Amino acid sequence: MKRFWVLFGVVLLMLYSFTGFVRADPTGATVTAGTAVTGSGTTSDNITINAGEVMSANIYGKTITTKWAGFYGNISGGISLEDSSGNVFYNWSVSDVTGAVVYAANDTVSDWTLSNASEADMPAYVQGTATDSFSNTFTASEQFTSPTKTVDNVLYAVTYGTGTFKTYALKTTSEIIFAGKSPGTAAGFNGNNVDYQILVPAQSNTNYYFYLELP
Amino acid sequence: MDKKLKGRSWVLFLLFAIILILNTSFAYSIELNVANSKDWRDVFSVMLYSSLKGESATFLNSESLAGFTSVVKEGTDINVYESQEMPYIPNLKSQLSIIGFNVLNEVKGKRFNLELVPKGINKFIVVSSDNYRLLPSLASFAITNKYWVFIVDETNVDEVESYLKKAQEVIAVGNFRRDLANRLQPYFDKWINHESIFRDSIELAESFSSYNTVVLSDGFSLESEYFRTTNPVLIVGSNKLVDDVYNFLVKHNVKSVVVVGNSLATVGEQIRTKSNKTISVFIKFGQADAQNTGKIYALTFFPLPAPKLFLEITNVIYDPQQKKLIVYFKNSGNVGIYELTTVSVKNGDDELASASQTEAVFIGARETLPVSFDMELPVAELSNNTQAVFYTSFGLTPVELDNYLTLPGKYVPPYITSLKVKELDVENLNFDIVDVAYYPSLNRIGIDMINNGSAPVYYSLRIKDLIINGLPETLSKEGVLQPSGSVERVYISAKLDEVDMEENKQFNLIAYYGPDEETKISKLEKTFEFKTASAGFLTGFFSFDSAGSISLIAIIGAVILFVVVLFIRKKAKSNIGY
Repeated sequence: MKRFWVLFGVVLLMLYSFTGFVRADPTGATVTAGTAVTGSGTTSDNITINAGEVMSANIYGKTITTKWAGFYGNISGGISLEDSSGNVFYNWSVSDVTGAVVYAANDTVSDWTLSNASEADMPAYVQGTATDSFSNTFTASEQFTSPTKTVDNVLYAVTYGTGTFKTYALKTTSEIIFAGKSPGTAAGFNGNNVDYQILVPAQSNTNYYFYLELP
Repeated sequence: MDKKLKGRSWVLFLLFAIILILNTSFAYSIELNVANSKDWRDVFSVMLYSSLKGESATFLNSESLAGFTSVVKEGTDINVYESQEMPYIPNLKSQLSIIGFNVLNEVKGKRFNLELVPKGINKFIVVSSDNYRLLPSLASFAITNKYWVFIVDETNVDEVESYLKKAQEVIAVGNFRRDLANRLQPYFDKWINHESIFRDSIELAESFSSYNTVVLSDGFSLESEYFRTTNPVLIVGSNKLVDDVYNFLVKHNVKSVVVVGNSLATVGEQIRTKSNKTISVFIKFGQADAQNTGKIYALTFFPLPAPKLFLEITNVIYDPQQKKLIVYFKNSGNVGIYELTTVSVKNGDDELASASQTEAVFIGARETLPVSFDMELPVAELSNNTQAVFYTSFGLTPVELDNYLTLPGKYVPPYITSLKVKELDVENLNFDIVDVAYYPSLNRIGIDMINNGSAPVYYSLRIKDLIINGLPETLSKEGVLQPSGSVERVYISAKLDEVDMEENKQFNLIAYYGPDEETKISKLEKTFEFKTASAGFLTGFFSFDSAGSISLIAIIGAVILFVVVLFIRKKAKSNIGY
């Protein structure tokens, strides 16, 4: 029987080690808005993801977690991105970005017919009732509008900043999509002027592509 | 059941559970095929192969692993497809293993386009390697309809032909040089060729069942979208929405357009404007960093072998005496291009006059060409603030003018510049083209010209739409003709085969000429019946084009060698005698 418990313990340990990758363990750290906790710094012209940060007004303070990642950046006045090898810089601009929306999608989007997403559409690691779960983060709902899309009853989260930076939870038939609407250039969570902030569920095997819908 | 047996059962159960968990973890692991080749044909083939097999794939586009590790997660299971001849990173397998990737397989190849044809696929698309810009369209079509795409040139036509002989179906797309077409055409069940990559991509798109969303590409690079999308991919210009493509969007009531890469943002804006904002436009511009270190990167592109097209306007002169606006176009690239322009002259918002070309004009590589527009301007109203406003389209062929000329740092036309008022000294030149012939033994076209005037004549010659290896080409040459009063012959290199010589019925010549480089604004157009001529032994050796120079060098080399051998033999004889 003793051997059984030892083996059972081993199995539990193994299970734990595997599920550990999807484990979110809020530390409860309260940090004043504008102080970066994790992630690398950024220049004001680059769009940056600060992984491991939740910037939600619905959660008390800023909680370090492995479940969420924040993206923010500028779309007005030109956009500059480097390729992954750091050798090529892509500078571009859109003549009028008023009303433009930035989307983060977890795959190639085959059909841009959008509808509202629910907790059931989300990855398992943000489902449930944990403090930093989807349902505790995307707590309000309203009509989502973009230059060409209107979707009713879309859950959204508001992230830190002097502007009202909202992230909307949407989906297509096969992908989940998070939309960041710009309130206009305003100070973001880190005090820098940004045009949008998006909050997305992110883990080690999550990859996002970014789209800009033209106004 | 005794205690011992019960214990064993538990051990077995637990072992089973462990195996189950391990298997589950493998099932969740990401497996990724990685193309490690500098050859765009290899990269396209690995990406296409992977998609047809339902596998994920990416490619290297740098000799540094940093780019790869920035967007691919550590611990990912990798299958390496490495070019034996042109890998980006030699021995990638070891390098990936060292930094924590699990390399499951390594496939080395010389020509993946021939080596990766998936088993069970017996329907083929054939495209000439010259039509690389069609590849994004072909990728989505091939994946949707389960075709393999052969990128054919003279180096692999034998192997491709052996596949086509046994094919269930063959679709050819785009034009082919005659030597390739002659070999492969007997196997074509269908040939999509509109002499325009835009229209070819549209016909491919017409076969899709849904047009709700359409992807746009400029065809100058590969990106993973083309190998993952279930939507048609249409080809457009880098900064210009092609009319045919826009008409397709309207005809099929397309709801959404995805443009791949930020470079096409201006095309997206043109769609929004032209459609009165009824078509949604999404610019796919970035990808998340793999290691969660905090960045969004630009998309990963693999460049296709596109020539760089550079056109600029170096000068604009208004000649009130001739009532002409002369625009100096400079082609700084290494391939000939066509341009088509509408120009207006303005004082602020007041338009003083405007003019348009009715036909695209060819400008040779590295050539500056003065192009004149008939225009009558009120000279008294011209000032330093007067502007010439250009809407100039240019491209590789007259039907593929898919680039707008823009000011540096601008993404959309017009191109605006100032103009000078100057009376150009256009003398009454006496210049003519008297004869043209093809010299098969020299692989050159000889053009006989005469200058019966008293001053040198500066000229820019074009032979329009000469059929070479089955395809029309425009050839050009610049030079100066001295006032000798006798016929002078200049040569342009061109290799015509027997069929070309039969198909070419005439030489269509255009000469722009003048008393100096700046004033080559007179135009002479002539047509000559196609004919061949035989050259004398030394004909052409002393013409100063590259072929003539090489011939001359070869002759001089042979003479020197002959003299040296003679000298050595003579010396050897004298040594024996001694």
